[in-house]
Amino acid sequence: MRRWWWWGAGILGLVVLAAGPTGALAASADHEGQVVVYTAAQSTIVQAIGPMFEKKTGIKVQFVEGGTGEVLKRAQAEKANPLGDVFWALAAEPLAANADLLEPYTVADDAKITAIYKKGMAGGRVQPNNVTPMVIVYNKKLVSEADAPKSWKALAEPKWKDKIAYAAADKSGSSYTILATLLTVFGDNNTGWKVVEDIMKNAKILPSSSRVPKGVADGEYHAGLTYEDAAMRQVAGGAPVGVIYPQDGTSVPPDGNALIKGAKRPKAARIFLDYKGFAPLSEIKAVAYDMAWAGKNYAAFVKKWQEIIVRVK
Amino acid sequence: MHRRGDIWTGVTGVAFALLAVLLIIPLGRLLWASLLGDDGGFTLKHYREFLAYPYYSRTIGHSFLVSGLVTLAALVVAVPVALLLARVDIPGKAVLKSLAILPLVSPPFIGAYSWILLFGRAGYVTTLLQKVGITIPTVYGMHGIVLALTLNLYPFVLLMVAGALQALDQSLEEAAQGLGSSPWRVFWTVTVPVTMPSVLGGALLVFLTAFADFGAPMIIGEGYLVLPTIVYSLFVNEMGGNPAMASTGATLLVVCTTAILLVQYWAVGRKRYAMTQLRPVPPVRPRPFVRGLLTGYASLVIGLSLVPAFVVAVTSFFESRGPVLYPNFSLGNYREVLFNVPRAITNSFALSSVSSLLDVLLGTLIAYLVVRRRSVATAALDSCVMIPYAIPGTVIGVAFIVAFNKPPIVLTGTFLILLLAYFVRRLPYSVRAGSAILHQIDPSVEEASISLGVSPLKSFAKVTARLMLPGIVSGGILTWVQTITEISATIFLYFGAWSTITVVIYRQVSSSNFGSAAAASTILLVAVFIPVLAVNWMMGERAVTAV
Repeated sequence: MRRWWWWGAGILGLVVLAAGPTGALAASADHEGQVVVYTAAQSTIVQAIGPMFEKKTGIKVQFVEGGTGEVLKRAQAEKANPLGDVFWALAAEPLAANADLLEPYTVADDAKITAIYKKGMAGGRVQPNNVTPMVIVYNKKLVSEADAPKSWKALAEPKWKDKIAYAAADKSGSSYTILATLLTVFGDNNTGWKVVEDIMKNAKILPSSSRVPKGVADGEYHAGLTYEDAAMRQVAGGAPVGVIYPQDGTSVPPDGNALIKGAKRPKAARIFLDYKGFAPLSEIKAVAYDMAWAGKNYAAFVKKWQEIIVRVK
Repeated sequence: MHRRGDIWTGVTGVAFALLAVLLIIPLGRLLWASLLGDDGGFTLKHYREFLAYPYYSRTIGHSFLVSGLVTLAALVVAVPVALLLARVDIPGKAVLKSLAILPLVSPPFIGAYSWILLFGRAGYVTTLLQKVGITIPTVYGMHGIVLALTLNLYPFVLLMVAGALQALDQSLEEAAQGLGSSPWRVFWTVTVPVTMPSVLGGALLVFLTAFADFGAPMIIGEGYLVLPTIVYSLFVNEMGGNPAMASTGATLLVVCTTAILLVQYWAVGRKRYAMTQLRPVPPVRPRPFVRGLLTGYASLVIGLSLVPAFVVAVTSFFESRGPVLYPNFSLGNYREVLFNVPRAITNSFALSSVSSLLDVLLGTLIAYLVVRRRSVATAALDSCVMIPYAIPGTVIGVAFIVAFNKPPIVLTGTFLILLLAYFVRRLPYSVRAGSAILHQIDPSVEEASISLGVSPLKSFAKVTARLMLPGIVSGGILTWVQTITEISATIFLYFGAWSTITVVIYRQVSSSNFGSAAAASTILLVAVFIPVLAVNWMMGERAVTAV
């Protein structure tokens, strides 16, 4: 039913793609011989993909790694003379918010991508990659399955005071997505913001999204708000972590790829973008999460969130 | 004795020109944005906004509080140990001195995790104590930041004070003793005042580093925000951030730091003690019992500060299943990083060695100008040099890309941009170490040399630079160690094959692969420790043969 470990699936997809008869790839022997890929993907994945892509296409691939924020900041600073060719596996919302850095491109597999994942993607400039549902994680040693928070709303109860972890919304992209998801579920109004404030009263604010599942796995926190991939890696590693897809609904935003505007090696870049497979999606109860709306309201929502933090901390 | 228009005027000019191209122009443009309104006109509204908004403004108070406490604690911890290492004959001195540098190598992001691993809510020590009925406060929050930073930064004071004590001339104390002073009186009236510039210099480095640090507050602050964390969040924000506010915060950091620097400049400037070379004071050999006690104390302090490194090293041999670690012995983490570590560590060594060499060269000259040729121009030079200290590496990284990505100067995508960023970012260490030691050296020897007809530059090289050597070497080691662990500018500037070991560590941590990160960090620790140990051994012998 649910995909457990989407990176695993992603690699599998790639292996299948690489092995299959992909005419589009074979036809384009006409390329620049190398490509520079700016990526926020996990190092493990990056190391696996490089050699596979080189072997298949004969194109030498050079990765520049960093968090989504760092990679985008870097590309913004280099705008006058871009050094990268492709963005790969960055958080899609911030990528879409930087539409001026992107060149529109339609990937070979475009027809297979479900329409809802193309919404809010900067008019086709961003290609959806894998999806990352927002979830609740809890520590199975500290919290029984019966007591575990089954919904976002449950995290607002006073019994979770100082026991849950949340990454700062003004720092982490996925954390901002959770904030916007809460406002989608409970409304961008007094009711919705009251729920946010109550959750923040209970939460310890951490500086990066990877700290939340790690802290819960280590028993530093009872539960946390995070994204599926990070949570599942803990589960796969055998940590005492339970994952909950909130009953009141969650968002399922994709990661994104894009062609960098002014890329020096556009042909190789397009081959790289075509190379990525897009894993089919699972059946999580998704709310109608509007990425364009979330992006537009970023400054206002973060400011309100910061005011809450000053009030409750 | 100022001679106008000598070679030093030229050196001042060159130093200014270098700093203008590498620092003032790139950063100036970035910081200037804080004074521009939406219409491009001059305005102070961003500052009003920043200071009126509690989420931002309260971080300034937090920063001063944390840095102040860290500085006090570092002095209390480090000065006695420095005295022991410099003046008392205790066994294993070279090893202890080398070990004392390791806390500075605290691998980015992962070092502070060790404190959570031990003293967090579910930490090893916490749970162990709970079993015997003792509850300790968790490590999170302000006091945790102070603990981590103190044990991370005290080597600045230790190295500089120990260096100064070793450079102290025997005759001074002998004279005081000959005049009938008791040993304590000699200590308080001679030793303390003469080493004071180094104590203050070390304290300044600690204060400024603590003030600009965002790693420890991010990891164990648990929401306790300081000015650099806010600047970092405003600057590197996945959603594009707020450029004007980011510039405002960064400018405030520079303003605070410059103010601190001026206070220190004024304080040290009024107390100058000079002496002539240099028969090092022979170490005291106390009774065995006292000797054991003192050795124990020094080892305890240094040992405590090595806890993070130790935890990282132990963790690196744990078995990893994805992000989860199991306490079974395994070399899997090392296999995992074998793929990219050899090249990365070579890069790190090459880049930091060359840039540190340049730092020592220019830093020593600038220190000389600042101390010996006091003028408005050299005071300005001193302030400029210290700016990179206040600025998060992130800001320098971005400023460098913007400045050097199009003609006339294109450096992006080459190793040169990393080299120059390191050079500028770590120059303050060499300058501070150099000027601290210069305050102890009597200018009259050099002046005598010049009056005997030797050229000023040659006199400097032959006389003063030699007397400065212990200080220069300590400064050089500091510079090198701080460069090889640089990450925040590197992550923006590295390209292609020029990835460094810190990039590897940082990416492994962000990918939640803590085992691999620990393995890469351990390799870095060992790789840094060996050369430092070698230098200390060599210097130790040199000090002996010089007598």
